[in-house]
Amino acid sequence: MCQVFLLLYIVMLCIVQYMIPDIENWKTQIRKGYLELCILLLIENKKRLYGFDILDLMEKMGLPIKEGTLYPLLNRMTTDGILASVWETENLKGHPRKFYSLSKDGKRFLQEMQTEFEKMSQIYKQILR
Amino acid sequence: MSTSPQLESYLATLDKSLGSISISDRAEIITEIKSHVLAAQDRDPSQKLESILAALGEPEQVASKYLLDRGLKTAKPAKRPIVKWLVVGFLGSMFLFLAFVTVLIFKFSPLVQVSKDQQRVTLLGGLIDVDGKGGTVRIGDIPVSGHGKVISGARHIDPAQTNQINIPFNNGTFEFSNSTDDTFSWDCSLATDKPETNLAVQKGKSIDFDLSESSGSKCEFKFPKNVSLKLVGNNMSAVIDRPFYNVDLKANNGKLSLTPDPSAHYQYDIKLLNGKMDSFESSEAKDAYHVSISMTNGKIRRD
Repeated sequence: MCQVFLLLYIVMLCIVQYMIPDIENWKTQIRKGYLELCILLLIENKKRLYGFDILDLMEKMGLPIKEGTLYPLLNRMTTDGILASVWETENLKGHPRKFYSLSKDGKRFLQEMQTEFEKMSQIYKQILR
Repeated sequence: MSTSPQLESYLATLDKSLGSISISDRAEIITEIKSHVLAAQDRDPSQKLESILAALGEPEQVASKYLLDRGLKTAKPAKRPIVKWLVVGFLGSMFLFLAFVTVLIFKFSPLVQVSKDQQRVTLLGGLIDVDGKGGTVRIGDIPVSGHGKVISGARHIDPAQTNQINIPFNNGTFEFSNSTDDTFSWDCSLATDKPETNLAVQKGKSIDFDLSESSGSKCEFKFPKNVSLKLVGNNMSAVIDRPFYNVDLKANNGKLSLTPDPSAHYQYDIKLLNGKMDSFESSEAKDAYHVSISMTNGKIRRD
């Protein structure tokens, strides 16, 4: 009898867990756009960066990003014309590295993103007041 | 610089999974990922290649992110060989099982055939033959239970010499009706391998009609008036119709159908541990017949 009640309790816990909205899902959604903005800002500040540097800087700022996420994102932004890329080898022994910089369109795109983000931030602060 | 086979294999899978992306773009992606892995190894030579690749993620997952970011359809992940073989094995087993069942149905149909007149049940197209009349069970040509010995007989009862008939049994189906004269007669099918012996043996003032050697018995008795019946055994189904005699019945499991005669009086002593029974009203009359029934599991019915 006790086992039946225990089983029912576990099943109910699972149902309750399932019904509570998952904060992680919301975090993923909001991070998606925010990440793009941060990466573009970093590249603008440093003029040019390659993948490994971006990973390091993002981690130091407390916004870690996985390699498997960053490279596809950089690739897409390059295809969209927001970023320009160039392969360079720093020394004879080294491997070729792909450096990213903001394109002309990318700079404009980043300004629009910042404006939009500022606007959203203002609205958020206004609501909190 | 030479690259490890593990990295080559990773990059080859990634390249394959990138599918619909153009060759030049794929080459660009592969070069960048390879560059990342080599740079990671340069930065920290103690770091194992496995952990660098694990941090990147499975090549199929990385490829699907590239494809999704470009709004392209992701390639279906390749089925693991174990899953493929499990599916093949399961489908193969199901096919064999269905084929086996089909053969069984064709070979052994009709599955069940019951003949009430001949008291015979044949199963699986005659493979198993249960003969109720003969008391035999056969699988193919091999007899499994008894030889279905049919024994009939009668014996005149002198009340001065015999006051009780004992019938010990193992498993049995019995029907008792009244004899029209002072004879005790029987008509039995017995499941026994033992040679035929004289079943009714006089012992003092009793007659022993021993059925305990037979694994199964089916008997119809004509029972004389005013001679006590003692029926003791394991499993039974009995019908006692309007008895003009005392009854002493003991069985472990059973079903009894008792029909009292309206003109006779009975004094009942019934003990049933588990089961269902009808109510029986005892009479205080001096000439009442004693009906004593003791059963562990069963059903006692008054008809």
